[in-house]
Amino acid sequence: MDKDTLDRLRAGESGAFRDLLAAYRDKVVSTCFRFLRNREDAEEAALDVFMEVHRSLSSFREEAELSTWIFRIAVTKSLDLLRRKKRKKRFDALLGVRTAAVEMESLPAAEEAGPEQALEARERSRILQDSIDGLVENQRIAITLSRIEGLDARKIAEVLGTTAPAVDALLHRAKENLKKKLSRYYARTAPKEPNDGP
Amino acid sequence: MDRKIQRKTASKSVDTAPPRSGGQAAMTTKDDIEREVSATLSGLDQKTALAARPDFDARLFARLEQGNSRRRSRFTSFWRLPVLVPAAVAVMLALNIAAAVVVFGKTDQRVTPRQQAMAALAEEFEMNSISTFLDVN
Repeated sequence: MDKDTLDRLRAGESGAFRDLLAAYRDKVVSTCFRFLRNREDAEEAALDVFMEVHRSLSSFREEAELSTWIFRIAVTKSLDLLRRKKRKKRFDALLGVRTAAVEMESLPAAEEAGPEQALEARERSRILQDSIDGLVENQRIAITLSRIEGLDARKIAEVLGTTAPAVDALLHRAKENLKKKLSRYYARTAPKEPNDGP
Repeated sequence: MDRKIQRKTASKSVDTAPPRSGGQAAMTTKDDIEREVSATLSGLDQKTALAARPDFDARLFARLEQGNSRRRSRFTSFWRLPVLVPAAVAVMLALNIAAAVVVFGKTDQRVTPRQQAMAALAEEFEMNSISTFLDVN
């Protein structure tokens, strides 16, 4: 798919960019969303990603696969936007400007049996995403990319500019840290047993 | 939801568990926490994708077109700057003058008075270098 699409794009075939868009649109939006947790921002970042792809296709040297290159741009654009937003937030706080709090959204949960289960799954997804946001940057990127269909350790390694074993180690550490964070969270929210206290 | 999980955890440990000591209660809470953690972590395996809005493609192509026209207008507006045309004419003139000075200046330097005299003599006797050379040999 990648090679064929790339050849057609370079040949200037009309419709090739639309095909590329159809193949990667939702994946890129989802990737951006997992970093930014806001649909508006995610689509904004995704638009930037495809504009960059369109602009730089001629200079793409095929050192990596097309998909890897696109995801690398998506990660960079998302993190850039996230940093800009954080900087603006800090600057606004410094100036005492009150900005409207943007609600952190979570991805829709998979189809559940009933509304209660759906709500529970959605809440679990939010808790998980909060914990992922608390990880260090490279662990956060690795675990976020690992949740994208078709992105294995080798491709994640290409995006991060490292090796597949390093990504495996990164994912392992990320999962351990997530486990710790979630345990702390549930321990905080768990009800106190009557005989539990000192 | 947190309250719901709490409620669930509490109801599990209060309603279904038999009477027990403090240690057992702590153990159950720990088990519950582990269960919640693994249930939440199982969300990592869900490859849920967020679909872009239907107008995404239209927005993208509009922006690409906007970018192209901006680039085009930047190029044309460059030549619309009032200083540029006179400046370009001045540069062309300066180049022409410089080229003329170099070419004619060098020609003048090459022709010495002796060469001029030789040329005049050759013209007078209707001689040229080739015929002279051939005659001698």
